[in-house]
Amino acid sequence: MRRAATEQNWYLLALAVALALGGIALLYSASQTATGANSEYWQFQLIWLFVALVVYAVIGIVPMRWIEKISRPAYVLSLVMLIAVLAFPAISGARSWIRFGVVGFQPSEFAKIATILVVAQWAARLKSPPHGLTALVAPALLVGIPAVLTLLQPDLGTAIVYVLLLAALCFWAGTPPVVVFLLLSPLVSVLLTFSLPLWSLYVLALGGLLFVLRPSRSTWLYVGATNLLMGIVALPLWNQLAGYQKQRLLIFLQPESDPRGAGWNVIQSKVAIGSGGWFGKGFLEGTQKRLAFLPERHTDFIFSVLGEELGFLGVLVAFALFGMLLLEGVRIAERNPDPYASTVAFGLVALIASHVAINTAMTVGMMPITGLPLPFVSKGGSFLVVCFAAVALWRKIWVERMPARR
Amino acid sequence: MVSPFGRRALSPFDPLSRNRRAHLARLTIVAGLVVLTGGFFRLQVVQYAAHEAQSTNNQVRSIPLAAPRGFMYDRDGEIIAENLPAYSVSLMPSSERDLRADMERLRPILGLTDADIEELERQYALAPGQPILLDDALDYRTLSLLEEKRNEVPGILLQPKPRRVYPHGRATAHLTGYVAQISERELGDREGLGYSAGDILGKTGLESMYEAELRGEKGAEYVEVDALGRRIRPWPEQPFQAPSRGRDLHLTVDLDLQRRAAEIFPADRRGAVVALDPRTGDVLLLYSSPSFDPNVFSGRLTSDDWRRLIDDPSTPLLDRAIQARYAPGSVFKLATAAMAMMLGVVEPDEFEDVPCRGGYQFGSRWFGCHAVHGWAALQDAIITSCDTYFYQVGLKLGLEEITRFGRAWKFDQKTGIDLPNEVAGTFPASSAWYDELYGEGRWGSGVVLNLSIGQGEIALTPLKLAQFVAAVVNGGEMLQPRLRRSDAPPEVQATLPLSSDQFQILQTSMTGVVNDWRGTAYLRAHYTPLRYTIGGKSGTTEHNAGEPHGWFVAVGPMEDPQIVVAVVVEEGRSGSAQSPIAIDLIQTYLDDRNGLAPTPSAPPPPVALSESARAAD
Repeated sequence: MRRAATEQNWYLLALAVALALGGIALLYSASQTATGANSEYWQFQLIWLFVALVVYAVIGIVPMRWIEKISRPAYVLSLVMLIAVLAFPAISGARSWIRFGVVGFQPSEFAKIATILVVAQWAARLKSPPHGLTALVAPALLVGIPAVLTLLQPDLGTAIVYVLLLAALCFWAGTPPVVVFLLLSPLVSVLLTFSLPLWSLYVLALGGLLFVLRPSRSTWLYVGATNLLMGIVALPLWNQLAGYQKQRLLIFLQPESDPRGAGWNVIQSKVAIGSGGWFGKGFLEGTQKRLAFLPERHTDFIFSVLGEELGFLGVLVAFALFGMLLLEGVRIAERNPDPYASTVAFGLVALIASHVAINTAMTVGMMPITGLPLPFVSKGGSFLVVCFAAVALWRKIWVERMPARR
Repeated sequence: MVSPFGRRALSPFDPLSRNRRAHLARLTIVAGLVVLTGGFFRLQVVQYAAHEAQSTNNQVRSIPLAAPRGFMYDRDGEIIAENLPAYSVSLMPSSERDLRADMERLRPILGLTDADIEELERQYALAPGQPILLDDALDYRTLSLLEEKRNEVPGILLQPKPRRVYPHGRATAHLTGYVAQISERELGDREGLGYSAGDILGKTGLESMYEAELRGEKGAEYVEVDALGRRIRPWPEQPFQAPSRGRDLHLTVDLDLQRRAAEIFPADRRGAVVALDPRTGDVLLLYSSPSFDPNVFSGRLTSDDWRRLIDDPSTPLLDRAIQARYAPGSVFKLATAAMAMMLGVVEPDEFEDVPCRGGYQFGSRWFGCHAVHGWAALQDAIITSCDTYFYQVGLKLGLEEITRFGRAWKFDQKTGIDLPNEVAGTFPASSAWYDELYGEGRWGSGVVLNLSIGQGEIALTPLKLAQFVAAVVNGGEMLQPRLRRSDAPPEVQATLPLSSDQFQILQTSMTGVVNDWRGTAYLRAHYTPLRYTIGGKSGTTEHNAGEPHGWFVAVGPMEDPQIVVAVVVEEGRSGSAQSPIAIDLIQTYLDDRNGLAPTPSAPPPPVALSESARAAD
């Protein structure tokens, strides 16, 4: 216990703090616009960084066994909050905040971690690797409930993160990748229903795959029924999507179709990043940022500020930092023999990685705009705290990689 | 292939299988980052140039700066049109809502009406992002009030915008024309020529004719704007491009003559006066009465001012020198005489068959003359303006010949002066022309009698008639009149192929009109002393409504003609009554050219419009 309380993974902490400080610098820059400065943004973020470090320290005291014990209550609590949040007034079209006075807080950030914890508990109890889809019903439900609740907010980005989390956790629990794919195959079906020939081809390919794999009858039933069902209901479902979500997806396909309207964000972000070139326009010198052409430059598009001001080299440095952080997370997950701790570590890798990938790909138009923050960097207190909680858990799992002397 | 469903590992977390999965995960992470890096590389390195250009395009707006128009000078280099420094106020709002709010704030200062605001909003909708001109004739008080509002109304744009000024406005109004803001329709017609809303455009006169040269090249102010279109600061790379002034226009007119004409033309009368240099076709004077002040259009023209100009029954905007047609009356006898001599149907020294007994009996109709002239030969007939003589000449010429000459001498054509909207004369083309006008067989051969004394179906602009008389005194060349000074030889549009003896007869007759005691203009012309040998021809034209119009076309000096002046005064009762105007202008001009003391302060000549005037014609 003593060893666990004091030992650090300095490498990991240094990477996280470097990213957070870089983020604060970018926030400072993002606030320097021609029509005034929002200096309080970076100052708030600095305060939140201290809060996050305190949370990091507090989590450091708690042993992993305790955390395993609170997994289930934390999950239930987060579900309650996700339901409660739907009753709060909407902020810019989405109900994802719980407000206490001036301090707002987004339960979906904590729900992600709670979901990782509770799915890790399921993984830890496995006697053997899940060998069929029936074995994956439990994790699919555990992830599906919060995913659907966030989709109702509506928050498409976070829902996508849940899907990736489910895939990653099932994979880490020993499920063969092809089975994970079969589990998620109806979602691919949804995306393909917009083109009937593509969807038909996909369904045929699925059938062929199943024929080769010769899985159980229930697998046949699940894959067949869900994919056909999705093929049929996806379009009515599409009509159920909020207008801006539809637009975001359509704009992703063709951003120039509406350059003044919804395509604006993508185009401006691409212009800002593209005009950065190799070395960028210099810190604080981004014209698109300064003249407010860049939308959401403190949150979703903070990476565009980096691209414009620090150029391709700045982007490379950022990707290097994230890459080192994620690879260290994988190493931690690999080294801790405890199935629960290992799965938690890997789930956190999936969480951070999916955010980084979706957010940065969105800024260059490789992904639809989903409004996901960039871990450690984007403005937003609760997500910064969640990121440092992840680092704290990694550190703990690293420190406890050898069973402590009891 | 071994189905994953058929294989069972002992534990999902045994070190071996976990190690394999970790490798796969690492591979996925690195591959993902490589793909993302590729995306950024494509955008930032491969497509850098395009994005860089677009980023500049995003951030920089050019605000046009009005160019000063070229000046206009008279033949002596005196200024006819120039520019004064002035300021304009425009709005560059970031949205329609801002526009409305800004206009409400400026409303009391600029005195905008609801209709103005509606119109400006419509303009904004047509070209959002372009500055909208509110007023381009600010006085200093308004300018300073607006300066104070700068912070309250961020979209406000105060710019220097030179204001067009005509120092002798009324005297040169029909010559210069006027400038005003370009209209939506004019903007549409001039697409691709670099005009934008709020620009100044020459609307009439020389301003319109030489618009392309006078307008100059707009400059621009380059400013950085933010995403909402708010101006942030001058663009550091190129903050400003100076406009360049339009080309100056050097005119053939004599400003002193213009001013003198405006001074002595009977103020309450409609009419026009034109002067040409018969040697070159240079227009020395072009004045139409009543005149207007073109300066009011350069400022902010209220709709009331506009209505007043449009609704004025004396139509001051009409340029009567080139846009009004009058029957030339007896002035045309010079043409009839020229035709007759050319064809040899009259001998200048011989009398016609019938003497003038105050008229001429043609069939059952009596064609009157204004006096009893008795026996007269050609010169005397011109000097006394005997209609009876010319009725008989006309009959000898015949309708076909007269119309043929009319066409050859282009009485039915425009003169081609460098002014817009000139009208062509009316002149019968042939007997078929009459058939068309009245119906076959429904007109009598009496028309030829009227035509030969310049009445009936003939109507010419003052400029056209001056062009013809200039040809009579310059050896027969109908020169294209021109307002822009040029060293190029004048364009000859037609020639009167008369011998010099024949020209001499016509010129001597014209001298007689003024100087022979029997001449129609003798009495009037000698109210003031004549310093030059001046010739001329009067004309009085009957028309259906009101008093007859009076013409006088004068030339001086007859030994070496330098100026031809044509005056027409609507309802002036007689032509001879207008001779003092023409003679005064000729003497003013010749005094000036010969270095004599100018006589601008000389009293205007008496222009009596008494009943007795008719008898003298």
